[in-house]
Amino acid sequence: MIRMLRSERGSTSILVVIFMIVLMIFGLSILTTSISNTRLAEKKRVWLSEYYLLEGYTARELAMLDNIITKNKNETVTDLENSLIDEDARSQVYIKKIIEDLENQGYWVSLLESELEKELVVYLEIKENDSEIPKHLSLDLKLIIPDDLLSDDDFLNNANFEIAGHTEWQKPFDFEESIKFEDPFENPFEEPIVNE
Amino acid sequence: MKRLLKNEGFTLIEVIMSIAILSIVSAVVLQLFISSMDLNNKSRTIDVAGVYAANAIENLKALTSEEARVIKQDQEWLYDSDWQLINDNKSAQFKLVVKLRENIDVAENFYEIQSKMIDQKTDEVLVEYITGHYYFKKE
Repeated sequence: MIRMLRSERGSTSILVVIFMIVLMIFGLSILTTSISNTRLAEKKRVWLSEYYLLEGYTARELAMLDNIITKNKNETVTDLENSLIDEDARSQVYIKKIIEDLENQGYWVSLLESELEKELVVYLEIKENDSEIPKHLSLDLKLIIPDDLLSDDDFLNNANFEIAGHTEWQKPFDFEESIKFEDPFENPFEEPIVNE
Repeated sequence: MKRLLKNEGFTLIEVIMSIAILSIVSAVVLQLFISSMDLNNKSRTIDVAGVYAANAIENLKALTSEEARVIKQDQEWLYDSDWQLINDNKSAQFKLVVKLRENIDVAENFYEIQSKMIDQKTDEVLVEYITGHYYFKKE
């Protein structure tokens, strides 16, 4: 046995095998990196495709909102011209009418008032109804209405629409009641509530 | 020292066997490298195609509604294998097709935009983005 180990016969083959293993490891690691690269590229493509779809839906909603508001503007201007409402109250009447009209169309609207400007926030939710949109998406559109809206002749152009942001979330996962999680916000000094 | 001074080399069979094993393994390993290169090229193609397709959409979105209205036909750009813009359809490998359609059913000035990069050699659609844009208050 010892003689066999001391003999150098076949040592070349061992060197070749070691070299071969090193090359294999090198090749496999490069292949793994390339596969990850491809997956990343694929993910980016899918993400961008979903992003553009979402942006398209947002633009569609914006167009519809603008239509509603423009129609509303024309009606309000005619109404206000024939009424005796003073200039300061015009903006209030206009905004109230917009909110009513948008709510009638099924939008969720809320008015945020600050000293500088009024913000009309429209909440939209795009639900999954076909395979093109795999996620639930929610859009918040912000419509900034200047205070002196109706004192300007070209007031619609002064009302800025902008997309304040959009959020998206995955479908809720199935919760297993058998799994117990620790409550990270539990107060250790608070006495536990004992059910009678 | 004695060992080093020994005149014994490798036998012919040893050398032949080594070369044979090394060739077989090299062929497998080289195949791995070639596959990696192909995969990397594929990822790069998808990435670049995505950038060009997105760029075309953003360019259209930057137009005014008057400028958008003038565009009636589908726009096409041809690229060679190095992604250089060319005019010759025969030598072009990639084709970017951009469509802009006004959808009056939604609203006036609302356009649907489709941007598609096609590999002309394989007829494969590399990327396809569909979006919409409302040309609001840009006049």
